[in-house]
Amino acid sequence: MKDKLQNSFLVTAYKEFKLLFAIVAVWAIGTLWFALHSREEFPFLLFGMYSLKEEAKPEYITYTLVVDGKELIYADYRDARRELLVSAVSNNAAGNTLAAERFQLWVKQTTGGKPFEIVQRKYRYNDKGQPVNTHTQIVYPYDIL
Amino acid sequence: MISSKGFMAQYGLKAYVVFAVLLLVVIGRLTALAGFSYMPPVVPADESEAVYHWLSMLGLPQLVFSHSFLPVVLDVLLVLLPVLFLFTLKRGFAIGFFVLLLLYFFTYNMVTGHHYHGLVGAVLITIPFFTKSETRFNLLWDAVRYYWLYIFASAALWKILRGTVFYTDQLTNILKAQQLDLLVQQPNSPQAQMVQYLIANPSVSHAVLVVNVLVQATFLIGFFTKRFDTALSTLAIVFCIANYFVMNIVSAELLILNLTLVNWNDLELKLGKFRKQQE
Repeated sequence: MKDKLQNSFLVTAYKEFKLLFAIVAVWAIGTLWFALHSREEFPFLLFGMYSLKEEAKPEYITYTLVVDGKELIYADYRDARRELLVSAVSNNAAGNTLAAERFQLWVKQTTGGKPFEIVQRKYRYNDKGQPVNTHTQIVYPYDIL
Repeated sequence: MISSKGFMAQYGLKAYVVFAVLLLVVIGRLTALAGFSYMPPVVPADESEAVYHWLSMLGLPQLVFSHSFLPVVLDVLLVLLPVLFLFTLKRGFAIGFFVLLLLYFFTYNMVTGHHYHGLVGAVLITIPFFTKSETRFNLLWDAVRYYWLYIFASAALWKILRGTVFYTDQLTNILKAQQLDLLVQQPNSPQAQMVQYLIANPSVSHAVLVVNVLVQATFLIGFFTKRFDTALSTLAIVFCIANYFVMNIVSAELLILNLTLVNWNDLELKLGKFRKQQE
Protein backbone atom coordinates (compact mmCIF):
# COMPACT_ATOMS: atom_id res chain seq x y z
CA MET A 1 0.00 0.00 0.00
CA LYS A 2 2.81 2.37 1.02
CA ASP A 3 4.76 1.41 -2.11
CA LYS A 4 1.69 2.03 -4.24
CA LEU A 5 1.26 5.47 -2.70
CA GLN A 6 4.96 6.26 -3.21
CA ASN A 7 4.63 5.41 -6.91
CA SER A 8 1.34 7.24 -7.37
CA PHE A 9 1.04 9.96 -10.02
CA LEU A 10 0.83 12.87 -7.57
CA VAL A 11 3.77 11.76 -5.39
CA THR A 12 5.96 11.07 -8.46
CA ALA A 13 4.99 14.42 -9.98
CA TYR A 14 5.83 16.16 -6.69
CA LYS A 15 9.25 14.49 -6.59
CA GLU A 16 10.19 14.61 -10.28
CA PHE A 17 8.23 17.43 -11.94
CA LYS A 18 7.23 20.14 -9.48
CA LEU A 19 5.78 22.46 -12.16
CA LEU A 20 3.35 19.76 -13.28
CA PHE A 21 2.42 19.05 -9.66
CA ALA A 22 1.70 22.76 -9.11
CA ILE A 23 -0.40 22.98 -12.31
CA VAL A 24 -2.40 19.86 -11.36
CA ALA A 25 -2.95 21.20 -7.82
CA VAL A 26 -4.14 24.63 -9.07
CA TRP A 27 -6.34 22.98 -11.70
CA ALA A 28 -7.89 20.57 -9.16
CA ILE A 29 -8.59 23.32 -6.61
CA GLY A 30 -9.88 25.70 -9.30
CA THR A 31 -12.14 23.07 -10.86
CA LEU A 32 -13.53 22.12 -7.44
CA TRP A 33 -14.13 25.77 -6.54
CA PHE A 34 -15.95 26.54 -9.80
CA ALA A 35 -17.84 23.22 -9.60
CA LEU A 36 -19.10 24.18 -6.14
CA HIS A 37 -20.35 27.45 -7.65
CA SER A 38 -21.78 25.63 -10.72
CA ARG A 39 -19.81 27.98 -12.93
CA GLU A 40 -17.40 27.25 -15.74
CA GLU A 41 -14.20 29.18 -16.33
CA PHE A 42 -11.56 28.08 -18.83
CA PRO A 43 -9.34 26.09 -18.18
CA PHE A 44 -11.37 24.67 -15.30
CA LEU A 45 -13.79 22.93 -17.65
CA LEU A 46 -16.79 21.11 -16.24
CA PHE A 47 -18.03 18.09 -18.15
CA GLY A 48 -21.61 17.79 -16.96
CA MET A 49 -22.71 16.31 -20.31
CA TYR A 50 -26.33 17.48 -19.98
CA SER A 51 -26.46 17.16 -16.21
CA LEU A 52 -28.60 20.30 -15.65
CA LYS A 53 -32.25 19.51 -15.14
CA GLU A 54 -34.08 19.83 -18.45
CA GLU A 55 -37.74 20.79 -18.17
CA ALA A 56 -40.21 20.32 -21.03
CA LYS A 57 -40.90 23.57 -22.88
CA PRO A 58 -44.31 24.62 -24.19
CA GLU A 59 -42.77 25.21 -27.63
CA TYR A 60 -39.48 24.65 -29.41
CA ILE A 61 -38.04 27.05 -31.99
CA THR A 62 -35.96 26.18 -35.03
CA TYR A 63 -34.41 28.39 -37.72
CA THR A 64 -33.92 27.12 -41.25
CA LEU A 65 -31.96 28.49 -44.15
CA VAL A 66 -33.85 28.19 -47.43
CA VAL A 67 -31.56 28.63 -50.41
CA ASP A 68 -33.08 29.24 -53.81
CA GLY A 69 -36.37 27.74 -52.58
CA LYS A 70 -34.70 24.62 -51.17
CA GLU A 71 -34.35 24.05 -47.42
CA LEU A 72 -30.84 23.24 -46.16
CA ILE A 73 -30.89 19.85 -44.45
CA TYR A 74 -28.59 20.26 -41.45
CA ALA A 75 -27.94 16.50 -41.23
CA ASP A 76 -26.24 16.69 -44.64
CA TYR A 77 -23.42 18.71 -43.08
CA ARG A 78 -20.62 17.39 -40.94
CA ASP A 79 -20.80 18.20 -37.23
CA ALA A 80 -18.33 21.12 -37.13
CA ARG A 81 -19.94 22.81 -40.15
CA ARG A 82 -23.49 22.11 -38.95
CA GLU A 83 -22.72 23.81 -35.63
CA LEU A 84 -21.46 26.89 -37.51
CA LEU A 85 -24.57 27.01 -39.71
CA VAL A 86 -27.13 26.45 -36.97
CA SER A 87 -25.49 28.81 -34.49
CA ALA A 88 -24.86 31.56 -37.08
CA VAL A 89 -28.48 31.54 -38.23
CA SER A 90 -30.06 31.30 -34.77
CA ASN A 91 -27.61 33.73 -33.07
CA ASN A 92 -28.13 36.36 -35.78
CA ALA A 93 -31.89 35.84 -35.72
CA ALA A 94 -31.94 36.21 -31.94
CA GLY A 95 -29.59 39.21 -32.08
CA ASN A 96 -31.60 40.90 -34.86
CA THR A 97 -28.46 41.04 -37.01
CA LEU A 98 -29.72 39.05 -40.01
CA ALA A 99 -29.43 42.15 -42.18
CA ALA A 100 -25.88 42.94 -41.03
CA GLU A 101 -23.50 43.18 -43.97
CA ARG A 102 -20.92 40.71 -42.62
CA PHE A 103 -23.58 38.09 -41.95
CA GLN A 104 -25.05 38.61 -45.41
CA LEU A 105 -21.61 38.18 -46.98
CA TRP A 106 -21.03 34.99 -45.04
CA VAL A 107 -24.39 33.50 -46.09
CA LYS A 108 -23.64 34.42 -49.70
CA GLN A 109 -20.25 32.67 -49.40
CA THR A 110 -22.04 29.66 -47.92
CA THR A 111 -24.84 29.53 -50.48
CA GLY A 112 -22.76 30.39 -53.52
CA GLY A 113 -24.47 33.77 -53.88
CA LYS A 114 -27.93 32.27 -54.40
CA PRO A 115 -31.00 34.03 -52.97
CA PHE A 116 -31.98 32.85 -49.53
CA GLU A 117 -34.51 33.29 -46.79
CA ILE A 118 -34.49 32.39 -43.13
CA VAL A 119 -37.56 30.74 -41.70
CA GLN A 120 -38.48 30.50 -38.04
CA ARG A 121 -40.74 27.62 -37.05
CA LYS A 122 -42.28 26.78 -33.70
CA TYR A 123 -43.26 23.28 -32.63
CA ARG A 124 -44.88 21.43 -29.78
CA TYR A 125 -44.63 17.68 -29.30
CA ASN A 126 -47.57 15.26 -29.50
CA ASP A 127 -47.91 12.01 -27.50
CA LYS A 128 -46.20 10.04 -30.27
CA GLY A 129 -43.03 12.11 -29.82
CA GLN A 130 -43.57 13.95 -33.11
CA PRO A 131 -43.05 17.71 -33.40
CA VAL A 132 -46.17 19.49 -34.62
CA ASN A 133 -45.72 22.82 -36.38
CA THR A 134 -47.65 25.62 -34.67
CA HIS A 135 -46.17 28.72 -36.26
CA THR A 136 -44.06 29.58 -39.33
CA GLN A 137 -42.58 32.95 -40.09
CA ILE A 138 -40.08 34.18 -42.65
CA VAL A 139 -37.69 36.24 -40.54
CA TYR A 140 -35.42 37.20 -43.41
CA PRO A 141 -36.93 37.50 -46.86
CA TYR A 142 -34.21 37.72 -49.51
CA ASP A 143 -36.29 40.00 -51.73
CA ILE A 144 -35.72 42.96 -49.36
CA LEU A 145 -32.12 42.92 -50.57
CA MET B 1 10.90 0.44 -16.71
CA ILE B 2 11.97 0.78 -20.34
CA SER B 3 15.48 1.81 -21.43
CA SER B 4 16.06 5.31 -22.81
CA LYS B 5 16.43 3.78 -26.29
CA GLY B 6 13.18 1.95 -25.62
CA PHE B 7 11.61 5.19 -24.45
CA MET B 8 12.59 7.03 -27.63
CA ALA B 9 11.12 4.23 -29.75
CA GLN B 10 7.86 4.46 -27.81
CA TYR B 11 7.93 8.27 -27.88
CA GLY B 12 8.28 8.09 -31.66
CA LEU B 13 5.45 5.58 -31.98
CA LYS B 14 3.15 7.72 -29.82
CA ALA B 15 4.15 10.86 -31.70
CA TYR B 16 3.38 9.30 -35.10
CA VAL B 17 0.02 7.90 -34.01
CA VAL B 18 -1.12 10.98 -32.05
CA PHE B 19 -0.11 13.53 -34.69
CA ALA B 20 -1.48 11.40 -37.54
CA VAL B 21 -4.84 11.38 -35.74
CA LEU B 22 -4.54 15.12 -35.04
CA LEU B 23 -3.87 15.69 -38.72
CA LEU B 24 -7.03 13.75 -39.55
CA VAL B 25 -8.99 15.88 -37.05
CA VAL B 26 -7.72 19.09 -38.67
CA ILE B 27 -8.27 17.85 -42.22
CA GLY B 28 -11.75 16.70 -41.18
CA ARG B 29 -12.57 20.20 -39.96
CA LEU B 30 -11.12 21.95 -42.98
CA THR B 31 -12.88 19.68 -45.49
CA ALA B 32 -16.13 20.17 -43.56
CA LEU B 33 -15.65 23.91 -44.25
CA ALA B 34 -15.22 24.72 -40.57
CA GLY B 35 -11.69 26.14 -40.69
CA PHE B 36 -10.74 29.75 -39.94
CA SER B 37 -11.60 30.69 -43.55
CA TYR B 38 -15.25 29.66 -43.37
CA MET B 39 -16.31 31.01 -39.99
CA PRO B 40 -19.31 33.33 -39.76
CA PRO B 41 -18.95 36.77 -38.16
CA VAL B 42 -19.30 36.83 -34.41
CA VAL B 43 -22.56 38.09 -32.89
CA PRO B 44 -21.71 40.50 -30.05
CA ALA B 45 -22.63 38.86 -26.77
CA ASP B 46 -21.67 39.07 -23.11
CA GLU B 47 -19.13 36.32 -22.62
CA SER B 48 -19.78 34.42 -19.40
CA GLU B 49 -16.20 33.16 -18.96
CA ALA B 50 -13.40 35.54 -18.02
CA VAL B 51 -10.91 34.20 -20.60
CA TYR B 52 -13.42 34.67 -23.43
CA HIS B 53 -14.29 38.12 -22.10
CA TRP B 54 -10.59 39.14 -22.12
CA LEU B 55 -10.05 37.69 -25.58
CA SER B 56 -13.09 39.61 -26.79
CA MET B 57 -11.65 42.83 -25.31
CA LEU B 58 -8.36 42.09 -27.10
CA GLY B 59 -10.28 41.98 -30.36
CA LEU B 60 -10.55 38.24 -30.97
CA PRO B 61 -11.91 36.83 -33.21
CA GLN B 62 -12.27 40.00 -35.34
CA LEU B 63 -8.46 40.23 -35.38
CA VAL B 64 -8.26 36.86 -37.15
CA PHE B 65 -10.67 38.04 -39.83
CA SER B 66 -9.16 41.54 -40.16
CA HIS B 67 -7.22 40.56 -43.30
CA SER B 68 -8.68 38.18 -45.83
CA PHE B 69 -5.40 36.25 -46.18
CA LEU B 70 -4.88 35.64 -42.44
CA PRO B 71 -7.56 32.91 -41.99
CA VAL B 72 -6.15 31.10 -45.03
CA VAL B 73 -2.60 31.25 -43.63
CA LEU B 74 -3.85 29.93 -40.28
CA ASP B 75 -5.70 27.05 -42.00
CA VAL B 76 -2.56 26.13 -43.93
CA LEU B 77 -0.51 26.22 -40.72
CA LEU B 78 -3.05 23.96 -38.99
CA VAL B 79 -2.10 21.26 -41.49
CA LEU B 80 1.54 22.16 -41.93
CA LEU B 81 2.62 22.17 -38.26
CA PRO B 82 1.58 18.58 -37.44
CA VAL B 83 3.09 17.41 -40.73
CA LEU B 84 6.39 19.11 -39.87
CA PHE B 85 6.31 17.55 -36.41
CA LEU B 86 5.68 14.10 -37.91
CA PHE B 87 8.73 14.45 -40.16
CA THR B 88 11.12 16.04 -37.68
CA LEU B 89 9.77 15.29 -34.16
CA LYS B 90 10.99 18.79 -33.23
CA ARG B 91 9.19 20.07 -30.13
CA GLY B 92 8.77 23.57 -31.50
CA PHE B 93 6.27 22.35 -34.09
CA ALA B 94 4.22 20.60 -31.38
CA ILE B 95 4.19 23.79 -29.29
CA GLY B 96 3.28 25.89 -32.35
CA PHE B 97 0.46 23.51 -33.21
CA PHE B 98 -0.81 23.63 -29.60
CA VAL B 99 -0.96 27.45 -29.69
CA LEU B 100 -2.67 27.51 -33.08
CA LEU B 101 -5.19 24.84 -32.09
CA LEU B 102 -5.97 26.79 -28.93
CA LEU B 103 -6.55 29.91 -31.05
CA TYR B 104 -8.87 27.88 -33.31
CA PHE B 105 -10.67 26.48 -30.23
CA PHE B 106 -11.38 29.97 -28.84
CA THR B 107 -12.28 31.47 -32.23
CA TYR B 108 -14.71 28.63 -33.05
CA ASN B 109 -16.35 28.86 -29.61
CA MET B 110 -16.70 32.64 -29.78
CA VAL B 111 -18.15 32.53 -33.28
CA THR B 112 -20.71 29.84 -32.43
CA GLY B 113 -21.45 31.36 -29.01
CA HIS B 114 -21.38 27.84 -27.65
CA HIS B 115 -18.39 26.85 -25.54
CA TYR B 116 -17.85 23.51 -27.20
CA HIS B 117 -15.46 21.16 -25.37
CA GLY B 118 -14.77 18.58 -28.05
CA LEU B 119 -11.45 20.02 -29.20
CA VAL B 120 -9.99 20.00 -25.67
CA GLY B 121 -8.79 16.44 -26.28
CA ALA B 122 -6.81 17.47 -29.36
CA VAL B 123 -5.30 20.46 -27.54
CA LEU B 124 -4.34 18.51 -24.41
CA ILE B 125 -2.75 15.49 -26.08
CA THR B 126 -0.13 17.68 -27.76
CA ILE B 127 1.26 18.82 -24.37
CA PRO B 128 3.34 15.69 -23.54
CA PHE B 129 5.24 16.26 -26.80
CA PHE B 130 6.61 19.56 -25.46
CA THR B 131 9.34 17.51 -23.78
CA LYS B 132 11.60 14.60 -24.66
CA SER B 133 12.58 13.85 -21.07
CA GLU B 134 11.36 10.35 -20.29
CA THR B 135 10.09 11.13 -16.76
CA ARG B 136 8.37 14.34 -17.77
CA PHE B 137 6.83 12.88 -20.91
CA ASN B 138 5.44 9.88 -19.02
CA LEU B 139 4.05 12.07 -16.24
CA LEU B 140 2.38 14.41 -18.75
CA TRP B 141 0.99 11.41 -20.65
CA ASP B 142 -0.44 10.07 -17.38
CA ALA B 143 -1.90 13.50 -16.58
CA VAL B 144 -3.73 13.50 -19.93
CA ARG B 145 -4.95 9.96 -19.18
CA TYR B 146 -6.36 11.16 -15.84
CA TYR B 147 -8.08 14.06 -17.60
CA TRP B 148 -9.80 11.58 -19.95
CA LEU B 149 -11.01 9.63 -16.90
CA TYR B 150 -12.09 12.89 -15.23
CA ILE B 151 -14.29 13.82 -18.22
CA PHE B 152 -16.37 10.65 -17.90
CA ALA B 153 -16.29 10.25 -14.12
CA SER B 154 -17.27 13.88 -13.48
CA ALA B 155 -20.12 13.64 -16.02
CA ALA B 156 -21.54 10.76 -13.97
CA LEU B 157 -20.99 12.54 -10.65
CA TRP B 158 -22.67 15.73 -11.90
CA LYS B 159 -25.78 13.80 -12.93
CA ILE B 160 -25.89 11.95 -9.60
CA LEU B 161 -25.21 15.00 -7.40
CA ARG B 162 -27.64 17.22 -9.33
CA GLY B 163 -30.21 14.43 -9.11
CA THR B 164 -30.97 14.50 -12.83
CA VAL B 165 -30.19 10.80 -13.19
CA PHE B 166 -33.30 10.19 -11.07
CA TYR B 167 -35.51 12.53 -13.16
CA THR B 168 -37.59 10.31 -15.45
CA ASP B 169 -38.19 12.93 -18.15
CA GLN B 170 -34.60 14.18 -18.33
CA LEU B 171 -33.46 12.46 -21.55
CA THR B 172 -36.88 12.85 -23.16
CA ASN B 173 -36.77 16.62 -22.61
CA ILE B 174 -33.14 16.87 -23.78
CA LEU B 175 -33.99 14.99 -26.99
CA LYS B 176 -36.98 17.26 -27.70
CA ALA B 177 -34.62 20.24 -27.93
CA GLN B 178 -31.50 18.50 -29.25
CA GLN B 179 -33.07 16.52 -32.08
CA LEU B 180 -35.74 18.94 -33.28
CA ASP B 181 -34.00 19.64 -36.61
CA LEU B 182 -33.60 15.92 -37.31
CA LEU B 183 -37.23 15.16 -36.42
CA VAL B 184 -38.51 18.00 -38.57
CA GLN B 185 -36.21 17.59 -41.57
CA GLN B 186 -35.79 13.81 -41.76
CA PRO B 187 -38.73 12.31 -39.81
CA ASN B 188 -38.59 8.97 -41.63
CA SER B 189 -34.89 8.24 -41.06
CA PRO B 190 -34.13 5.29 -38.73
CA GLN B 191 -32.36 7.67 -36.32
CA ALA B 192 -35.38 9.99 -36.16
CA GLN B 193 -37.69 7.01 -35.60
CA MET B 194 -35.54 5.86 -32.67
CA VAL B 195 -35.42 9.37 -31.17
CA GLN B 196 -39.18 9.71 -31.58
CA TYR B 197 -39.68 6.39 -29.75
CA LEU B 198 -37.45 7.57 -26.89
CA ILE B 199 -39.37 10.86 -26.62
CA ALA B 200 -42.71 9.05 -26.57
CA ASN B 201 -41.47 6.52 -23.98
CA PRO B 202 -39.85 8.39 -21.06
CA SER B 203 -39.35 5.19 -19.03
CA VAL B 204 -37.21 3.71 -21.84
CA SER B 205 -35.23 6.92 -22.31
CA HIS B 206 -34.74 7.09 -18.54
CA ALA B 207 -33.27 3.56 -18.60
CA VAL B 208 -30.90 4.70 -21.39
CA LEU B 209 -29.84 7.65 -19.21
CA VAL B 210 -29.19 5.39 -16.20
CA VAL B 211 -27.06 3.01 -18.30
CA ASN B 212 -25.19 6.05 -19.65
CA VAL B 213 -24.41 7.27 -16.13
CA LEU B 214 -23.27 3.78 -15.08
CA VAL B 215 -20.93 3.63 -18.10
CA GLN B 216 -19.52 7.07 -17.24
CA ALA B 217 -19.11 6.13 -13.55
CA THR B 218 -17.11 3.02 -14.53
CA PHE B 219 -14.24 5.33 -15.48
CA LEU B 220 -13.66 6.01 -11.76
CA ILE B 221 -11.87 2.63 -11.67
CA GLY B 222 -9.13 4.08 -13.87
CA PHE B 223 -8.01 6.42 -11.07
CA PHE B 224 -6.96 3.40 -8.97
CA THR B 225 -5.59 0.94 -11.53
CA LYS B 226 -4.51 0.72 -15.16
CA ARG B 227 -5.53 -2.95 -15.31
CA PHE B 228 -8.88 -2.19 -16.95
CA ASP B 229 -7.67 0.44 -19.42
CA THR B 230 -8.44 -1.70 -22.47
CA ALA B 231 -12.00 -2.29 -21.26
CA LEU B 232 -12.41 1.43 -20.48
CA SER B 233 -11.08 2.30 -23.91
CA THR B 234 -13.71 0.02 -25.50
CA LEU B 235 -16.42 1.55 -23.29
CA ALA B 236 -15.38 5.04 -24.41
CA ILE B 237 -15.77 4.02 -28.06
CA VAL B 238 -19.17 2.44 -27.38
CA PHE B 239 -20.23 5.60 -25.50
CA CYS B 240 -19.23 7.86 -28.40
CA ILE B 241 -21.09 5.70 -30.96
CA ALA B 242 -24.23 5.64 -28.77
CA ASN B 243 -23.90 9.39 -28.17
CA TYR B 244 -23.92 9.93 -31.91
CA PHE B 245 -27.03 7.83 -32.55
CA VAL B 246 -29.06 9.09 -29.58
CA MET B 247 -27.92 12.70 -29.20
CA ASN B 248 -26.41 13.40 -32.62
CA ILE B 249 -23.21 14.49 -30.89
CA VAL B 250 -19.95 13.58 -32.61
CA SER B 251 -17.33 12.99 -29.92
CA ALA B 252 -14.70 11.69 -32.33
CA GLU B 253 -12.38 14.62 -31.59
CA LEU B 254 -12.53 14.01 -27.86
CA LEU B 255 -11.93 10.31 -28.50
CA ILE B 256 -8.29 11.07 -29.34
CA LEU B 257 -7.71 10.98 -25.57
CA ASN B 258 -8.52 7.27 -25.75
CA LEU B 259 -4.96 6.81 -27.03
CA THR B 260 -3.81 7.31 -23.42
CA LEU B 261 -5.63 4.09 -22.47
CA VAL B 262 -3.81 2.02 -25.10
CA ASN B 263 -1.22 -0.48 -23.84
CA TRP B 264 1.73 0.93 -25.79
CA ASN B 265 4.25 -1.66 -24.54
CA ASP B 266 2.04 -4.38 -25.92
CA LEU B 267 1.51 -2.50 -29.18
CA GLU B 268 5.25 -1.99 -29.57
CA LEU B 269 5.90 -5.71 -29.03
CA LYS B 270 3.29 -6.64 -31.61
CA LEU B 271 4.73 -4.17 -34.10
CA GLY B 272 8.21 -5.58 -33.47
CA LYS B 273 6.99 -9.12 -34.15
CA PHE B 274 5.18 -7.95 -37.28
CA ARG B 275 8.35 -6.26 -38.55
CA LYS B 276 10.41 -9.43 -37.94
CA GLN B 277 7.85 -11.51 -39.82
CA GLN B 278 8.04 -9.08 -42.73
CA GLU B 279 11.83 -9.42 -42.80
